[in-house]
This record gives sequence, C-alpha cells and structure tokens, in this order.
Amino acid sequence: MGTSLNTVVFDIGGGAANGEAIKAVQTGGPSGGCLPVSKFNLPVDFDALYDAGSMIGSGGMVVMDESTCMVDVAKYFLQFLQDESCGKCVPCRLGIDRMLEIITDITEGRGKPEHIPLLQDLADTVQQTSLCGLGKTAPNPVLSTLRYFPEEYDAHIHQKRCPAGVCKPLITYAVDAEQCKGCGLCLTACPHGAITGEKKQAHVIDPQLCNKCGICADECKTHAITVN
Amino acid sequence: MIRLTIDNKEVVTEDGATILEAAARAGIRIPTLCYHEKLQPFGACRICVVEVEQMKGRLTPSCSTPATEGMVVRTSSEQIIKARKTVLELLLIQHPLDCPWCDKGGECQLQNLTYEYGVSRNRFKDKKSDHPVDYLSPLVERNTNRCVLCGMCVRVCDEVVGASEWSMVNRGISTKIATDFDRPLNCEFCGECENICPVGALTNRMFKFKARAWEVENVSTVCSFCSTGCAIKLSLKDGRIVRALGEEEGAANQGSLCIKGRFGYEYVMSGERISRPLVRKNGTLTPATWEEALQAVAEGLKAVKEQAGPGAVAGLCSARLTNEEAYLFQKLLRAVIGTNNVDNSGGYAHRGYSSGLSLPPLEFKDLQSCDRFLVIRSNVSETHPVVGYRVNVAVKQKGAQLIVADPRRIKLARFAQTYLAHKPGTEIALLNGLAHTILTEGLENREFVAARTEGIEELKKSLVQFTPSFVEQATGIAGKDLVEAARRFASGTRAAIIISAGMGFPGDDAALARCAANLALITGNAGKPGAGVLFLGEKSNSHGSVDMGAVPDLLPGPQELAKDPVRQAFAKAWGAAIAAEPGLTCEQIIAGAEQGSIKALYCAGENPLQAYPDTKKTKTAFGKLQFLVVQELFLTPTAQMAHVVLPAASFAEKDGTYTNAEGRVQRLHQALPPCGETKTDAEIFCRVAKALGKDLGSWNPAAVMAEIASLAPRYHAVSYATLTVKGHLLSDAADREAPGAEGAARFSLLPVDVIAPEAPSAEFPFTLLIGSTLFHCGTLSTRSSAICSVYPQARLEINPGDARALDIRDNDTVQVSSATGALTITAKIIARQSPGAVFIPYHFLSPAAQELASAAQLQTRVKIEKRTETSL
Ligand code: SF4
Ligand code: SF4
Ligand code: SF4
Ligand code: FES
Repeated sequence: MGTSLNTVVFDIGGGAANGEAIKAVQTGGPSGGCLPVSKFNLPVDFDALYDAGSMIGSGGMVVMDESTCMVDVAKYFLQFLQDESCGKCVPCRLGIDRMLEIITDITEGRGKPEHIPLLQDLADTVQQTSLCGLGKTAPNPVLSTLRYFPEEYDAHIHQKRCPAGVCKPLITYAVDAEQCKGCGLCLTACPHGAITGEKKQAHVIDPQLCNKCGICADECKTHAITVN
Repeated sequence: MIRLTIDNKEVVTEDGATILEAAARAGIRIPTLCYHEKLQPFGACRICVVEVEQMKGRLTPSCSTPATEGMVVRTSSEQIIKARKTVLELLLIQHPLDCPWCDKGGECQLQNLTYEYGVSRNRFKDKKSDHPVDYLSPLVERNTNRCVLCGMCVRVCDEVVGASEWSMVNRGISTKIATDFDRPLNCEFCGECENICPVGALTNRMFKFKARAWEVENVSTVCSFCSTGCAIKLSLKDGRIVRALGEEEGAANQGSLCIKGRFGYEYVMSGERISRPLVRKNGTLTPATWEEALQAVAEGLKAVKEQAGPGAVAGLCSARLTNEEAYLFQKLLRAVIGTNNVDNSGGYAHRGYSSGLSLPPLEFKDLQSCDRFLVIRSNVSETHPVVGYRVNVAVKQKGAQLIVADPRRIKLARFAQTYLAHKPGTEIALLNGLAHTILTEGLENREFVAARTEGIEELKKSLVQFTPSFVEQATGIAGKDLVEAARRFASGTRAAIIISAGMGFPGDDAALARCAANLALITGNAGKPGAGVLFLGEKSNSHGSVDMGAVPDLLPGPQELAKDPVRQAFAKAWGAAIAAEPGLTCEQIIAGAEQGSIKALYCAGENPLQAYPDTKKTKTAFGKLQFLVVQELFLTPTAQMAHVVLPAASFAEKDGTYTNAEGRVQRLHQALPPCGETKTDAEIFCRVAKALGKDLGSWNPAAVMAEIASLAPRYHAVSYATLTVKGHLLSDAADREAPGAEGAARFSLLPVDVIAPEAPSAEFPFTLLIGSTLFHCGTLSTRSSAICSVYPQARLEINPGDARALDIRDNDTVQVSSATGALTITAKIIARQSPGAVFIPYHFLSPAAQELASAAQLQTRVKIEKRTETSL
C-alpha cells in the first residue's frame, strides 16, 4: 500500500522480461482500468487508483509492453465481463454487450468517429446505473483506455491501423525486399500457401491468401517480415 | 416518520418507504418498468434512477432505495434523462418493435416510456431477437422477443399466486423467462403474469386481436363467481366483452384475479343462453311470450296456493342473485305468496355464518398483517384464490406462520410450518383439541377471556374429553403434532382462522364455525384487524343472500324472523302479514316435494339437480311437483324439468350489488344489454308479483337498495349515490372492534360436541370428498369455454398407494359407487390426495359427483372398481 507503481513494476518486477518498453499496467482484475506509464508515479492505494480511473480490486496487476494494443485489451476484458454478467439489470446485461460490439467493430476496421462519444456515453450510463459492482465497474477497461490511449482508438478508426499490430483485420504482413535473403523458410512454413518466391530472390506475400497467423514472421531469421 | 426533500418539495413519509413511494405520496411520478406495489423491490430495469445529494457520483434506483431522513432527491436532470434514454435504447435494440400487431399496444410501458422520452432513433444496432413464440400454452401467450426481463411475471407468480411457474433461466445476455424445460404452461392460469407484464411478452389469448386498448370501453363491476368479490373491469367492444381486468382500486382484490374472474366471463355471451321464455305445452318446453309465461307462472302458483295453502309453495334462489334480487325474491315469497319457504344453497352450507358465527367478518387486506393462520376445511387457494393470494403474501413475503389442516395436501400445505392431515370430517374434534391444549397448557389470553367473553367454564368442561390422545384417535393427528400446532397458534399476536363453506365443503358449518370462534376468542383473536375467523361462502353473493333473508328463518338484515318486533316492522313496510313459523330449508323443501307437501317450487338461478347432493332423490322429488318454475341463464337439468322457464339476465347485463365474505357491498354495473328477451331477475320477480295481482315495488336496483337500507340496520348506510368502486364495508364489519368491548355484549363461548364421522364399511371403503377445483365455481363456470380449455371434465383424484392396490393407472376409467348412486370417471393419480379418501369436483353435469352424495350424511362412502374392457 502506498508503494508507487514505478517501484512495483520496475524495481520489484524488474520491467519487461523481453526488455521491451512498458506501455501500461492494468490493475484490479478484469473490471479494473489501464494506466499508462505516465501515471506510474501514483501510489497503489484505493483513492489514487480510483481517481485515475482504475481500482485496487483483486489486487492483481497485468503489465503490458509496447506490443499490446489497448483497444484489444479493452475488448478482451469486455468479453470476460460479458460472460460474467448475471443478466438481471438492463445496463449491465445489454450495455456490456453493446460496448463489446462497438469495440469489436473498431478492432475490425468498422469503427466510425461517432463510436467514441457513443462508447463514452454508454460506459457512463452503465457505470452509473448498474445494479451491482460488476456492472458499475465493467466500463473501466473502456473508459480508462479511452482516457489514456485515445490515439490508439484514433488510429483504429481513422487510419484503419492497429499501431501495436495486434488487431488482425487491420494489419498486413509483407516481406521487406531489402532484408529478404530468399531462404524460403517462410514459404515452407506458411500454412496457407500465401508466400511465393524463387530461391535467393525476395519473396512476396499475397495479401488475399494471407491469414495473418504470423508464422512467417516467427520463422524468418532476418526479420524481413513486416507488420503494418 | 421520515422527512426528505424531493424536487425541492418537503415530503413526509412512513419509515421503510422507498424513495419511489415517498415521491408517489407527494404526487411526483418516477417512471418504472420492474416495480409493482404488490411485489418486493427488484431493481432490474434502472429506469427509476434519481439523483440523491448524499450519494453523489452515481444514480440511485428509487424503487429499491429506502428514503432516509434529510435526503435531498432530484427525480429529473439532464443526466437522469440521458441514463433513462440510454436504458430505453438498450431495451429497444433486440425488441421486435412489432407494436402494430401487439395486443399490449397502447398499454405497453415500454411503448409509453419510449414516447415520453422521445427515443425516436437508436444509436445501437443488433439483430432482432428471434425466440419461437409459445402458442401452445392455454390462455396466456408468450413471446419472449418482447420481454424486457423485468421479472414481474416470475415474482407475481411466486410471491402472490404461489404457483412459481416461471423462472429466469440462463444468464447474462441469454437470460430469458421460461417454465421448466420451456414446456407450455401447466399452472393455475390466473393470468396474473400476463396482466402484470409491462410489455407484450405475455398476453391474454382471449383478448388476442380483439381490440386495440384504446378502443374499448371499460365497465366496472364485480366478479360473479366466488365470495371474494373481486372488483373487475369488463372491456367492451362492439357490444361484446373482450376481456376482464382486475380493478386496481378494488378493495377486496387490489387488481388481482383468479382464472375464473379473468377468463370465466364467457358464459355471458354463450350461444346456449336461453333467450326466450319457455312454457311446457303437451309435455315439451315451447317458446312463449313473456305475457304467456308470466300468466302461466301466476296460474301455477295461485292454483297450488289456493288448493294447498301458501306452505305448499317454496322458493330456492341462487347465491349469485344480487342483494336487490335476493331481497325481492324472499319478499315475493313472504309478502305475496305468504310463505317463509325460501332458501338458497345456504340450507346445505351457509349455516355457518348465519347461525354459528358470533364474530364479525375479517377484512381481506388485514390478512396481510396476520402473523398466524389456521386454514381448516378450506382449500382457500382454490375456492377463493384471491384470498389465498393474501395468505401467500403474508406467509411468503412477511413471514407469517401457517397451520394447514386438511385431509388433502392442498397447495397451502407447501408453505405451512405445520400441516395436519386429519381424517376427513374430523375438523371439529381437531379444533376442540387445539382449544383443549391451549387451555390446559395455560396458553390462552386470560385477560381477554375474562374481560370480553362469557362461558369459559362451560367451555372448559365441554372440552375435557379432547385430550391429545382422544383427538389422535378421532382425527389421526399425532398428539405431539396437535400440541405443537396449538402452541404455534397461541403464540401469535394476530391470528386468522380460515374456513370455506359451500357445495364444495359440505359439513356441519354451524358447529365448525362455533369451534373456530371459541379458539379465536380464548386466544384473544377478536376485535383487532386481521384477527378472528374468516368464513368464506362459496358464491359471489352467498353472504348477501343470507343478509337479504333468502333463508327460511331470517328476514333481511339478517334479523331473526322469530322476533315479533322484527316481523312487525316488515309486515308494516310490506303491507302483508308474515308467518312466525320459520320456513323450510333446502333439504326440507326437497323432502317436502318428495312427500307431496311441497307442490310448487320457484327456482331462481338455483340448479339443485346438478349442484345438490343426491341427484336421484332430487329428481324424483321434482318429478312429483305440481308446478316448477325455473328462472335461468341456461337450460340446466333443473330447467329441463320445469313447467315454465323464465330467461334471466346475467351479472354483466344488470345493475345491483353483491356482498362479499368480508361484508363489503359492491356495485355491479350493467355492461351489456340483456341477451335476447331476457330480463333481470329483479324485473321478473316484480312482474310475477304483478301477475299475481300484487305490487313488489320498483325493480330499479337503487330504489330496492333504498328499501333494504330502510329495513335492515346493517345496510342502513348503503346507498347507490355513495357507493364507489371500493364498495361499502358493512357496519358490523367496520365496527369490528365494538362487540365485546367495555360495556357492550360479550362474545359467547359455545361448547360443541364432537360429531364422529361414520366409519368406513367393508362394502364402501373410501371416503368421497366432493369439492371445488381451482378452475371452477359452482356449475356456471362449466359454460365458459376458456375455463373448460384447461379443466374440461371431472376427474377422480386418488392417492398413488390406493391406486396401486386397486391396479388403477392414470387416466384409467373407474366405476365409483355409493349407497346412493354410481358413475364412471377418469382417474387421476395424485400424491396430494390422502390415502383412503378420493376427491371428485362437483361442478360438472357428467360425471356428476352429486349423484353419489347423500344429503342425510356428512360423509359419503364409496367403493371404486377398475373398469376393464369387458365390463365396459
Ligand atoms: S397464469 Fe398465474 S399461475 Fe400461471 S404462470 Fe401466470 S401467474 Fe403463474
Ligand atoms: S415476460 Fe413480461 S413480466 Fe415477464 S420478465 Fe418479461 S417483460 Fe417482465
Ligand atoms: S372467482 Fe373469486 S377469487 Fe376469482 S376472480 Fe372471481 S371473486 Fe376473485
Ligand atoms: S423500477 Fe426501479 S429498477 Fe426497475
């Protein structure tokens, strides 16, 4: 209690295992909120976390590095919460379902600018009118990511792009011709037969056939596969 | 008392009230979708949210938040409206919006709120809900696509009706209301769920596509079936009744109804109604004009009166005539014919409150404040379902303790702390045993007994024999159970004893009522609301018919015929001498007809050939009558024997009043013009009198009531000018605190001997219980096809063990015979039936249970044989 998030994440936790930059911490279990690194000076106590849009909740923390998409994180927790809703009161039963649907639309490239105020509005109502703690806190993942990571929502909605490269419908895999040695490892690994190319020549991914599984990127020794 | 501020208004409200209730008191409306005053708060829809200054940062549901001292509440703000609109949008996403063909259209809360909040477009989209519609359930249609999951159907069925047919199944977004395994309804079919559903998810199948809600005209009147006297509204369109609704303002029922009240009105519009007078010519009933028919009646009655004296004429009337009509009927017999031979089915069943009960009736609403109930010889949940709802609420919502004594494991036994399955016909021993235990254990209310009763010593003496072991032998109830029940009963502060009377519960009502009164009095259960004995007559005006003197020994009031000044007052008012000799009861009239001393009988709405015990005997007796006139809605078996049949108007076709079991006089309003050439019973009585050369006065119900009020002190304050939908609680019922009070007459404790039921014989090993089912009342309800769609025919209810011993399986045809008669019937094996006894409802023409019964005996003994193919 009272220890800063910085201390918990970096000093006690030792930062990201893969050495990547840390992006956010999600506290309080599924219905907690996501706090950006800029808030890591906050102490871990009830009021401070609550005021910042999260909570202590279960006491759990999920630390996320730059490879995490915050919209996807919100979607993930909403899915969990939708399963958990008992269905008694209207805002929780139907509100979570709608928030999930809108976020899903956003992560799949169907997002529209008006979705942001709509999400905000709906999340407010669900928070204020739900019957029990589950519904009252269920909007936290949405509200906190909207608050701290608006640019990620913008990228998904306006540029149809997932900056972290997580939301499959929004990303494309391509071969960087400069880096490609034409070894053919990716070609053999691709389960969908989406890659073509001659030995020692730069290979090409057919976006029509690519299933965005990412196996090629894992196989490539020269990091020639790019995600955009 | 709590003081709070709502919308800048100072509001004072009682402790425990919710914000919603406090606002309602102050005339501030807060919208709701899942709240109902009859139900426990649920808090699911969140439409009712308000802002409370002391609970900043969130919106508070007003329906489930208690008002507290100093609260500052706002019921409307931009934020509140935004939340309400969002909730409505959410509800409308999957809703089919099939308002154009939804029968709730115009009365739908979702529709009204959507309109009120101007939710004209929805920011959210999804597929429309697509559950299959349940068209299989009788009377109630279920379309869960329209459901808003307010849970009111589930709660009303559980908390009020006590049937627990619905539940919410699944969870989260897949939550829906369902029966077990989603089968069609198999329940009490009261329609309370359909009625309370704020949307068109549950609808009344009888009303389906009959009318838009705004097209109907509602006429408020009273249910014609049982003596609960539920206030109803009949919705009319194009001169037809399209549905019945409970009247929310009704004091007896507060908007609730049972299957009979909600779905049973159809008989009124039945094609089988008699619409013209019939006169027997050459042995056949032939249509005739009113003049001919009235002439024939006058001649028939006059001839008998002249040849054999007025004592050879008798009248039996239905306990469904209005007060005014019952009054005119007995006046016709007493003042015009000159005989006291007038009775209604009271001769069999209603003696309890006409002669046995010294306590004033209880008010139904007060039952909800009782903490003890003793329900004995009363399947109140079936005979008077809406009174049963009150008991359910007291027990299930408020924690009252319930003792049920009944040979059958009736519905209330499920909620009872103590269930006593006594041998049939031993109620008196059981009640006396309870009183004995209370007195020997010193559990009585000594102060009350000393101050307000008389006769305790005699009572004690008479109860000496009713020790637990004696009672155990008589009733089959283990001594320790009796003692436990006695202690439980005596430990309450407000106890009601509930007893039913009627064809469904024949027996020694007067003695039973006395024993019950004794038990109530020794425990101090009199003179306070909700405490005492509730004696429930069978039919809509069972109580009123006795009050109106449609019985042989009472004049309107009821006042004792035997008293000279009473007789004189009536003689003066009517301008006719009144015989001092009490008239004959139902049984005596039938016996008289058989022996030839009764030669003419006037049956007004009464159908003894179907409803009274021992059909064969009654038929023989009626066959000997020189003249039988039957005034009826239908060509009943009794009417078929008549010399003249006079077609009468139904309850929906007339004005008048009924008096219910709590002593509430309620107004019937005419909804339909009389069918065909029918006339109201009141008019017919006056016209018959006229044909006999006498004037009965006006048949205008208001004028008749004025006459009644002038002659019957209890009805003194009853006037059509002041009767509202709440009715008028009769003076002794209203002054129930008065009798036995300081200086007033004391309550009498009256000793009663045990009446031992006959022991079963080897030849007839089973006891036959003849009674009413939930679905029917009297014989009238068998003319309603909606009711018959769920309960078409009498069945023999038999215990599984007995059935096994006789090798009877469910739906087998069996032959039941008694010393009096025999019938074949379908068997229904049912665990609630006690071993050694079988049950047959009596409403039906065939198989007619009353063919087996004998008027001379309290108990009918029968034998049961399985019908094999060859014996068929
Ligand atoms: S009709 Fe009555 S008993 Fe049947 S489910 Fe509805 S409320 Fe329950
Ligand atoms: S069926 Fe009607 S009463 Fe029942 S939960 Fe749905 S909306 Fe409410
Ligand atoms: S039959 Fe009785 S309980 Fe049912 S609606 Fe009519 S008066 Fe009420
Ligand atoms: S009426 Fe209060 S939550 Fe539904």
